[in-house]
Amino acid sequence: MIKAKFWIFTWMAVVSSCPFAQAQLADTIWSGNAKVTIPALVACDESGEALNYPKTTTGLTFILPVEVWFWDNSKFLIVYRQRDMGADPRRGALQPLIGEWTIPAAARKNQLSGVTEVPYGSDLYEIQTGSYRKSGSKYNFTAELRDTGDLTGYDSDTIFPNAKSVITGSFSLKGNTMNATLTAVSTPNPHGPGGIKTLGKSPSATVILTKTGRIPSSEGVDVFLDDPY
Amino acid sequence: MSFSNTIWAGTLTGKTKEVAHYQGNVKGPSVTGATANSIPAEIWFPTANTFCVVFNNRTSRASTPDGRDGILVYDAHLYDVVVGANPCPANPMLTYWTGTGTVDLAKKKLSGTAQTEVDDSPEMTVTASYSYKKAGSRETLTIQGMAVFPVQGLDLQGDGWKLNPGIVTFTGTFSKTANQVSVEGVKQGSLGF
Repeated sequence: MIKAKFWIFTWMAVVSSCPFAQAQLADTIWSGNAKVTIPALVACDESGEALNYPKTTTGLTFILPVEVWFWDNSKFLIVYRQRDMGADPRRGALQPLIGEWTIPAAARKNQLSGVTEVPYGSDLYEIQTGSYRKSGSKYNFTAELRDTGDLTGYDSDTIFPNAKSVITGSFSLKGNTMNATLTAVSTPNPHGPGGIKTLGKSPSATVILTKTGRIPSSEGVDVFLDDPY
Repeated sequence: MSFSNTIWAGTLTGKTKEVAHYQGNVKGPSVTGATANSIPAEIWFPTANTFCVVFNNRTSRASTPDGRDGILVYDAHLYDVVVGANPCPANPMLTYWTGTGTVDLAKKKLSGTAQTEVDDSPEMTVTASYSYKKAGSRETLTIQGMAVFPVQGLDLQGDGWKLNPGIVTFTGTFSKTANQVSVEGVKQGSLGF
């Protein structure tokens, strides 16, 4: 009888360990400095044609201060700490980069009174998704940023239907440390015809993130808002 | 072969070690290893032993609709002097330019400065070595050198970007054109400076 109870207890512990591994990410914020490598960039004119001054810019490596917000057990968002990149202090402390932007109700706190939409992108003109799941000892993730077309009623010059960027990667956890790698692919003009696009090999990034004491459900989304002028 | 009154067209490739952002005079994030490839440029030799580097807006913006027509580019100004001697001091559109550019024919070296009448000192100094080749009717100059930016300013709050170090190393290949400095240098307005 004692032996049977032991095995039942062990079985329950094993079974419960899987959801527990996911649960430690839900409603957490991780911070770090990503090392980003972009093999080649080219600027384009308004018709989408490549400019030639210079023809290409190659070999860019830079550090991008980022945070990863895990909304729940399957959705996440990557933001960058734009003030650490030299942004005006009146700008929001953080800015969404790519990932899930359908904010769970639990995190819809601290929004400006009367504002029903979250700041920055929305499903009115773009799709922003980010999901992750455990696979063996690692987690795989993917996130997408895609313009859907202008459904706002405004004839915006910054909305380009089907302009898309996708990142895929994986991360592993060890205590409060997370090691992640990712690659990014995009449509020919992910930022519209007049923007910058990458050439050749896909951009990639590596980052070591540490768990912060902040959590999305109490942080709210006002941290993404600029100060009113 | 004499450089006098010749214009050479080609491209430059410039390499930086680090471009760093500063905030409150404190160094922050930076981009390392960036290389700008195939920047269209021209080398003008007003005399046998003076030179300047000129950006031809029609060439550098040839892929834009405006650039194809050679109009509406930089308010219809075709050329920008980047570094070196004033290509035509008599041109009223160029009186602001006080840079220098000398050719050492014996050592096959170019040395120049970028400066305007409002600058107390050069914004950039350039040194380069060159080699000349002729194959049939095609004459080619290959250059290699560095541009130094002695003073890099930040704004009043100490914010901005700086090269670290303030050096761009470059290489370039140029072919002799049929254009002449004595003809292009005097042009003003939509087809000149």
